[in-house]
Amino acid sequence: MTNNIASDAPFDAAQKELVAFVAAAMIPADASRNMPAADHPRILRDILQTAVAAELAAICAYVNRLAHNVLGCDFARANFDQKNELANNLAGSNAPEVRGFVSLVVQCYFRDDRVLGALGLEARAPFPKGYDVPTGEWDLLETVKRRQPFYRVVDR
Amino acid sequence: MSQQPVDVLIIGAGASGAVAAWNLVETRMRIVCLEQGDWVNPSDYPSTGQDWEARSWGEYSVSPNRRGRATDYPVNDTDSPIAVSNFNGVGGGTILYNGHFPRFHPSDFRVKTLDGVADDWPIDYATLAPFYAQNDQMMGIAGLAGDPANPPHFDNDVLMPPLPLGKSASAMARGFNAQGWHWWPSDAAIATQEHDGRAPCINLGACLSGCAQGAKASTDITYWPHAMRQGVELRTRCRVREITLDDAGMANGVWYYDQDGAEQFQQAAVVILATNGVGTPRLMLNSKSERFPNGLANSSGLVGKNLMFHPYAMIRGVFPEALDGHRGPGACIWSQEFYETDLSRGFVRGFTFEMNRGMGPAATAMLGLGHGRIPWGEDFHRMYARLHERVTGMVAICEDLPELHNTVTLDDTLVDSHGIPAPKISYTLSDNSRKMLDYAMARAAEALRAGGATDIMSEAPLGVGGWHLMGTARMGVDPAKSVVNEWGRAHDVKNLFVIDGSIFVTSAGVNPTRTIQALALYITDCMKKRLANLFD
Repeated sequence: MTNNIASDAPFDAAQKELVAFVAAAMIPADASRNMPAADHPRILRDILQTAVAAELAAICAYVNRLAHNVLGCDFARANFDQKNELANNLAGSNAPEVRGFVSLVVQCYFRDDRVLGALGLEARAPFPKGYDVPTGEWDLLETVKRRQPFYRVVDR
Repeated sequence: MSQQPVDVLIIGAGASGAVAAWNLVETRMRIVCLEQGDWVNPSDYPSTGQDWEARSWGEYSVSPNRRGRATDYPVNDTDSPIAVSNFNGVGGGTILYNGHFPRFHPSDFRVKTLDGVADDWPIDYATLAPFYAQNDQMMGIAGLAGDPANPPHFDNDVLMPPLPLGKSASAMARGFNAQGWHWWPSDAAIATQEHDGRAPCINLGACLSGCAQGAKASTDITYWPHAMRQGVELRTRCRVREITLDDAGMANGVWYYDQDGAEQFQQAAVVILATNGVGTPRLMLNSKSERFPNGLANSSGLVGKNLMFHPYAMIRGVFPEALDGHRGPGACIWSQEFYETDLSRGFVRGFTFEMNRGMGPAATAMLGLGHGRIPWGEDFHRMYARLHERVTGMVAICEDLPELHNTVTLDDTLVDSHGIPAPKISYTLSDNSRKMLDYAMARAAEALRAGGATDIMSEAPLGVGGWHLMGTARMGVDPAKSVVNEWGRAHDVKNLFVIDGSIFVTSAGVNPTRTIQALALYITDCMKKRLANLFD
């Protein structure tokens, strides 16, 4: 049972559908890599919970403006091929609304347990366990150690 | 409401304010520090959560405008290609710096004499050397003695072992060796052993959003505990509106808003400004009076002028093998092959390459998307996999020279949450800086390719790279050409001192925190030696 009261939800169904479509257009599933799409219910829920209402409203408004310009209709009325055409337009966009949305989707996608696991990363906070980093190839420094000082000497 | 008078009032509890508080405490004067931000709880840092990348871009963003905390003030930087970065809280910018901790070179104090540009400093490297050493002890430095690009500067009793090279720095070191160029383990303000109650680094990899381990030397965990144990009072969430003068033209206190928003007056015999190269001119310009209608101690007209950033280039290479990813501190190695002036390069002065290891998965995806390496759609995952944990690189920290037209002024309309006018930045990248950035990107690409990189992504100037704020209340011996004298005292107001990056005459090509702190030690040492005639 959810704690959310439907009338208090910051986003309506049309907005959620639009967000889900654009997120999945950006990051679709890849079964061969065991990677979910960005509209996977858990990731989509994270996106909607994380989003600032104004940001999501902005991307929805932007997509609907684009739909009118490109297709002559609202996003909700576009068919599958038309929506894909819109996605191609969005992919090449540098509009602030799109950049903000891309950042939001990426942040939420790459903290999902399943995504991190598929990438071979532990799904955990860095602290307190930390990580091992190899000492590295310190013998590479030997040639530099043999170099004479080369900073400029300045008289007082 | 008026508070009990104090002997010394420090404004700002960051890199330099903490130093001043600690160094003056032995005088037994009553010292109070007013800080507009809060203490930060290390358990709140992003690295304590799986969502650490997202939080480091939001509530722990380096941008005060993006962060938007109640303790922040807005900055109008629309007239600048470089946006201001800072943190307002106990520790100041050291909360969000990466602990890369170089010193200036001796030549940095003699720019006019050696290269015919800008001005010489009124002090030199030898003057600051003992204060650098004292600061190293307090902050705790990891590194390796013997760097041929720098004068010998380590007391081996102080120095902790260097940070690991890992796979990333090793790959870059191979590239620099192939080119025959200098590199060296970075001096880092990161503990690699227990130091002064701090635990050693465990490679959390999120230094730029606060160190939950406490290994990174931010002043909330270095200087402040010592200063407060000795009796310094630190008041947080206290935002100073203006510094006031008495009839004799001496600073006599400040008006500030306390944590409840109530207006308070704090009387003080000495006022020390430690609020960085933007906050300090903002406060001085907001402190207008009949005597100083253009801002406090501004008879030279130079308060807010000569703003210097360090224009940054970021250069990243994609390697065929997996490297360190987000694991490990960004600080690892540097190169100062191109630090000193060589006019055959087409510009004067130089830069430091600061290698900064790798990045987390979200940052990797954003990098690839932003540079056209990762497309939307069905090829997203295949192209992402080419970058995942295979990216490393560096930034070039380019010396910026002072120019009068680069300024901090007061915005006509923008104000903070207390209604205090906000700063406006007007900054133009110089032709010299542009040439230096282009040169740095070309050399970095050569080194990365020589180390095995198969693809290069570069960006300059880095739009979010306004970490270093300098020059806006410069020091000098001539009151017509500087705001403070050679030991940090305002020429115009003899009990007003400035100890932050505002007083820099030039910027050098390195991160400034170590020098800011050495200067704060030097200035407060001068004050202690002159206590009997401090205002003469």
